Amino acid sequence: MHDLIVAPFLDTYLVLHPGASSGIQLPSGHYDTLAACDGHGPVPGWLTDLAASQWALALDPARPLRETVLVRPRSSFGYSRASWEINLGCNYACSHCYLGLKEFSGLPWEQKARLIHMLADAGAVWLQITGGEPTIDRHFVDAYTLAFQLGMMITVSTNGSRLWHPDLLDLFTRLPPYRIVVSVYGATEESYDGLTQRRGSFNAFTRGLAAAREGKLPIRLNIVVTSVNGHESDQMVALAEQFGHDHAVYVNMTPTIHGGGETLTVQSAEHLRQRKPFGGCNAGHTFFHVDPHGLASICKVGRDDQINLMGPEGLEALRGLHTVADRLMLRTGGCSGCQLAGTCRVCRPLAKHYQQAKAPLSFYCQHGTPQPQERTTTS
Amino acid sequence: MTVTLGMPTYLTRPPDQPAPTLTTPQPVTNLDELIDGTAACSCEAGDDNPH
Repeated sequence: MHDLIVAPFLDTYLVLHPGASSGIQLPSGHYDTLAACDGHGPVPGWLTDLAASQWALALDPARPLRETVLVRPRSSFGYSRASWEINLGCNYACSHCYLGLKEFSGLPWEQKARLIHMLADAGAVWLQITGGEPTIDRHFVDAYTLAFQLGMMITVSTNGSRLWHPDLLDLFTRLPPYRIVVSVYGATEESYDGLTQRRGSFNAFTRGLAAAREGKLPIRLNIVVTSVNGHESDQMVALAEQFGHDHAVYVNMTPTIHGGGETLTVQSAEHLRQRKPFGGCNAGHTFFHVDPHGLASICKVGRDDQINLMGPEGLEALRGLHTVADRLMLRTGGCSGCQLAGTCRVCRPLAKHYQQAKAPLSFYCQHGTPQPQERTTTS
Repeated sequence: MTVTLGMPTYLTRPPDQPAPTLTTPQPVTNLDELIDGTAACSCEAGDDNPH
């Protein structure tokens, strides 16, 4: 398996080492030199030196370039990042989940493999595999492996309940992920199991997290604060800090992707914060999302006008996503006639979900009393 | 892109960040910063929304 990935990233070129959070930017000439190689010769000395200085990586001089370095081609699609819900099925039943009804369904393996090739062909260097709970999908290991083989830096978004499983630990040790993001639903068994509505989930989480730490996996914790566990928010942060994990705190839930407002009723009112003002988004232009059935959208929230990548056009259909993105970002339905539209700072697809859910304006409109902004990230 | 119809200053996309013109390889200490500047969701709800 490759030690290095050399890949175009938007208008730049990167050298990446799987599992590493640092990289190297290359001049285009260096990339062209590598891309033109037939790969039978050794790794160029300059690249060997860079790998040694950046990651203390000693490349085997006896291995040819093609076995050591995966040089990814330029993509005419120009995407750099993608997220993929491998399956919406989940082993938990959290009331705050923005996916709403989490049906266990997805593509058969042959179609999954075809889709993963499309993600690579679209130019995605970073891939987030999410769900539902992705690790319970029966093709998760194969899908992760294929994405890795194609030169993607993979983030897995998980509840951590299966991280202790030997098959997963072996997978993540052999083929290092860029990151494993674990949601945190409580600091005690009572609140955690209460939020997930699954007895034993806290024990599975702590077991999984301990195994991930033992395996030195690159963990980030996403702390979810709701009315069920709000009294433990400080404890959850302390848990992350105790083990030195990067973490983010999420206090604002969003309506479901179907426009349901049931998720909003479990928000912790005392923890709510104003969202970061919208300042433009590259959704659909530099990154995109794909659901379990191969339907591409600009992101996880803006799912209107999905593009079927499994259709006869295949990946070519994705070229229409830019137009979809521009259209969705400009749609003002529900805010028509607002006298303050000139200073609107809300993501339009997100606003649409709130409006469908008939949520109070204060839940999403930025025109109001300034409050502390959402999300704190520390490391 | 800044739109002037209906929502006069609504910025649909962040301002372009011109790619650096490199003559030699340059280390990137934190790849997240590179991603966040160009390829991350602006509102977070559509990107890393915990579920």
